[in-house]
Amino acid sequence: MFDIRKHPLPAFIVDDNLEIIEKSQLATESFSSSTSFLQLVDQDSRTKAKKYLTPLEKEVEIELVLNTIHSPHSLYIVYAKWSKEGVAQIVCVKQDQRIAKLAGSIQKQRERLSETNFDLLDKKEELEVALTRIKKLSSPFLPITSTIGVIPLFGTLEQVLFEVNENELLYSLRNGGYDHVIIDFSGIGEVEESGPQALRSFCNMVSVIGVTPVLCGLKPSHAFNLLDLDFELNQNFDIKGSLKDAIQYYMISPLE
Amino acid sequence: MTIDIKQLTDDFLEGDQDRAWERIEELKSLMENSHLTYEVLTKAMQRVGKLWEENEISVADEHLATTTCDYVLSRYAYSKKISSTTTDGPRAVFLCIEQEQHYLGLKMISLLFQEYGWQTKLFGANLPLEHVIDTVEKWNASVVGISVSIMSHVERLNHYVTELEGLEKTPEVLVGGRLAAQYDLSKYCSKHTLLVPDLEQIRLWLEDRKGGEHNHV
Repeated sequence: MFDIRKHPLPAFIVDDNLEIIEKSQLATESFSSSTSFLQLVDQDSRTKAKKYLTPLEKEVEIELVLNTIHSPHSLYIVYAKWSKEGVAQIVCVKQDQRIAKLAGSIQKQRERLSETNFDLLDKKEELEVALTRIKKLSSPFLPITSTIGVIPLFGTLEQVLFEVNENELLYSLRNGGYDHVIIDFSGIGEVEESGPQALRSFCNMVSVIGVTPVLCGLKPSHAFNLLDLDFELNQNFDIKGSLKDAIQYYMISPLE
Repeated sequence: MTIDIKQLTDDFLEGDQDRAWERIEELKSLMENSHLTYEVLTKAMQRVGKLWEENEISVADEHLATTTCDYVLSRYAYSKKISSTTTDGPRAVFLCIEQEQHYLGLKMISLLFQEYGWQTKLFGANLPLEHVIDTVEKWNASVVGISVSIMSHVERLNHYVTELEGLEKTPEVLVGGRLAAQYDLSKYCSKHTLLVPDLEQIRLWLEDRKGGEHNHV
């Protein structure tokens, strides 16, 4: 006959009121000597225990928090099997602490990740602000004489380069009563696809407010790129070689 | 439009951070009112607890849900720029009774305080009382929030309350957490301790304080 006392796990035989009839040696060692199995169940798990540990559930496997002698709050998987006589065998298997440890370390790592993640997002936003600032500084307006102004362009010729400063530039040009504005390409490296169109529309706006745009400092590579991207040079553009040439030319004959 | 708590719970249990976040993000009312968001997250986590009671999920599933919910909460705080960066606000310290892992609710409370201009420190689980007392004294915290969620730890609450309220510069002690919502914990507290069974109570308390401060100015 099977002897529950020698069961290798904490095991109980209970009646249909969960009163303990017999228990294994390990059950005696792990749990306090209570007459009812429910007494061993943590208060927060009792509703669950009452619901599932009944003869109505012939065979059941549930997680319960049990109060052991060593720890008042241990997670167990509890197996119960009822006989026709309304008596159940209950076996309790302690849940491995490794899961709890793992969950703990995952939590720590997640916290670190989210911190890094949010830090990165912050940096990204800072970077975007910095980039806009750089762009803003890449098309400044320099008044040379009462009639001539210079816009030295820096960086890549692209739409943003004009977009960020368009309003300020047009405002300065219009209010200063300038005749010519020299747009200097010396500091321009690459030409992006959006660049020529933006340049053209900027020059058109400049013309509309009564200022003649002059392009200078164009390198051969710019010329290729501009032509490739359908920039028509035979529009109303004055083109001078270098910035020096352009300034000299318009300072000597300002009325031209 | 309202949020489907069942679907949100499912996202949590599946660990689907992005979908859970989207559900919150797409609702203007939630993005504008943090206390509504916290209530929604709390309801979802309560449902997780209920599913465990109904033997539908295991404790491992609960862990995953908690982590996912925590992510959504962090992301929410980030997107609303809620942080403890002020240096002149009143100070509050939050903690769980030793050995408790139910910190999500506490995190929400801490965020709520931050939104009302408080500086907060949120202690993780398993921090000894001595350390808490040390921080409260050094940092000059005027409020200490304690969360209790596990019945077998409730006896310790009294010890915490007595020690904290016995300090020279006595902080106000608020006691909340799952147990405060379910039971009357006043016998573990003093007559000075404030029991806050839910988030709404804390929000009202904070509103009240805000008004009080304005009067002083």
